[in-house]
Amino acid sequence: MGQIDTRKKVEILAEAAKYDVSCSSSGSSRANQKGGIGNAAPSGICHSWSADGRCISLLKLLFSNDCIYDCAYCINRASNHKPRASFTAEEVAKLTINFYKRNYIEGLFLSSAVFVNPDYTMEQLVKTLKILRDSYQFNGYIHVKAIPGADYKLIRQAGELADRMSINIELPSRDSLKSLAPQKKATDILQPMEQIGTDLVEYKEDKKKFKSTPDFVPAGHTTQLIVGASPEKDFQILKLSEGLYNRFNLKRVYYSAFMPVTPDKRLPAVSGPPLLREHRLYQADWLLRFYNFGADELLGPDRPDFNLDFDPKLDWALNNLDKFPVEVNQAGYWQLLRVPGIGPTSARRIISARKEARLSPDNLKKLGPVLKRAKYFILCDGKYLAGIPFDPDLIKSRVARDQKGKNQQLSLFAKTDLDKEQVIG
Amino acid sequence: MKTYLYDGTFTGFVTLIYWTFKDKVRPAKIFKQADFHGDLFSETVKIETDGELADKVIKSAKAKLSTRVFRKAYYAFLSEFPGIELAIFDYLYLGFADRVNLKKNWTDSSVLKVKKVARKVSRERHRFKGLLRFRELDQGILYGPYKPDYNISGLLAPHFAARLAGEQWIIHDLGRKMAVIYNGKSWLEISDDLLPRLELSEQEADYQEIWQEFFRSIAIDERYNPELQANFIPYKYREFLLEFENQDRRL
Repeated sequence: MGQIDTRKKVEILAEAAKYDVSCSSSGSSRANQKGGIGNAAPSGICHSWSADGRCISLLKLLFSNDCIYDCAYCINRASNHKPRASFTAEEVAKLTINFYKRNYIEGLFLSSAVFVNPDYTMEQLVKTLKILRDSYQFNGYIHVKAIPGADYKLIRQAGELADRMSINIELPSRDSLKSLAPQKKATDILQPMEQIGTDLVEYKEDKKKFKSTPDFVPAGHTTQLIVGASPEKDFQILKLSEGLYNRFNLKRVYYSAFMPVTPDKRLPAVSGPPLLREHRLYQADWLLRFYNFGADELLGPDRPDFNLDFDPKLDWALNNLDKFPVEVNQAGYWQLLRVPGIGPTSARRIISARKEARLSPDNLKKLGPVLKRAKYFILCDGKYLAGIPFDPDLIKSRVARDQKGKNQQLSLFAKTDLDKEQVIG
Repeated sequence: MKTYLYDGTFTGFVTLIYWTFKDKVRPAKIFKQADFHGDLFSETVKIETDGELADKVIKSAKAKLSTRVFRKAYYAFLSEFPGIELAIFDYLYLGFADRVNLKKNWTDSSVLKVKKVARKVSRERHRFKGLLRFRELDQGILYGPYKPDYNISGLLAPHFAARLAGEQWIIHDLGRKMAVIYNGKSWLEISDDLLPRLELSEQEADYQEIWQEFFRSIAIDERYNPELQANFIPYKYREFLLEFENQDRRL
């Protein structure tokens, strides 16, 4: 490879990394050390937002895009004619520190195409992390990829240096993986994921006994699924996520709406990425993690895809009207959480405020639930606030009417190619 | 009915709280001295700022009302909203004299107001933890100019002092003409006419360019969505963000 400068490499290797959607910098509380630079904020901090409206919190780079694999969905596939580049470990470390000092970023997100072989690739990532942590005494956030097929010893080493690790499953079933990424083996992806999940627990246990035990991916591990490149239904995808959370101790599953980056006969023809579908999956994923919903409650074999008109919680409530209305002065936390328009914050406030005094409709309003939606599903001090009788058909038609305006706002995230043309105009 | 005047500092305001609570009077109005232009009808009381008395109030507020409850009063004060002082007075009075549990109260209007305003200030503080951009000066000093809505420089300082502990930096609030300077050990608020002459380091332009390149490259064309972007990052915040600048690099 000829000599190209850092700027050119950033252009190539940020461009190549952009399809990885994870950018979270939360969940770690690494403190700065004497003589060091950086710390990690538990809440995470966004530093900018790119033209697609996605948050920029980490310097997201591939170490190299010189891939030996030829996966059909991937922009870096070997058969794609693209400029190729690789960083050196020192180069990435120096750039990270200089960006960090200027408060451009919260830390580093380092991934890589598989170049030379999986072990060699993983070694380069570990080397970069070591330079950052040891030579530069960097205590900011690091998210690193575990390379499928690399020796687990290397992956573990990276886990002791990073805040978060991830291995992308990408294709939500073995069949799709076999068809679209024939050189990758499902076990090479799932085995290290399972091992990371186990190690997470073990390191935490050890740390209770021996203070010298290093942290192991303190912000947890994650994965990414591509939505729409293969025939899986929402139900199958959500079941997979649920299984990953329960079995592998995963912190997050990210969903990436498929967009064709290279022509391939095996891929579906689509007009634009299925952004609304992706959005519904994120909403449902949220319901799994924070609202105590099960995948089977939201979807089933007879109803395998999300309703694009209503968000999953509203859709569930409309299909379960026999469980409503609930009295806000009595309902428990988890019951309140199932009311459309009431989230964790307002549920907590309702419970704390009603200890002081019985809630009247007026008081309820001040606690911050979205009454426009909640009113169909609650009683407040015995009163039904919707201004209509509690009649399932009537409620459904009213909710649908209320949603009309809302679905126009959906353009905020569900921008189709047509809209884009108009905007650029 | 008396109008109370204080010097505009938080210490001054808390001294005011000390005297009014002691005398059991609720001010009709509270003004910063500089903002008060006099009126013929009201009697005015000028409060002499007293650090020791203020400390007393702060200590007892933290002990009796909790640090969090008191922090809300402080954050609300930093909003500099006209009239916020009286809401804070009522908020603290409810807590101290009427023993209202401020944490759990979501109905009283002054409590709601203080909480709401405090949340705005807290949000802006959080926002600028990410949005402040430092430029490296020729001595290696990092210089971060910005124009926040609220007086949050003193809230940002501990964050950057922990994070960039070994660096020297300046956070410059151009709207308020004040700055926080950090010398590698401790930080200090100063008036901005005390700032030295500012010149960029040699490598600064390169890093700004690489950052702009990164910012361009990381966006996905198929998802181009400037409305969504503007939702997260309104135009008023972009003035000092290098990535939204075209080619001219200014301080």
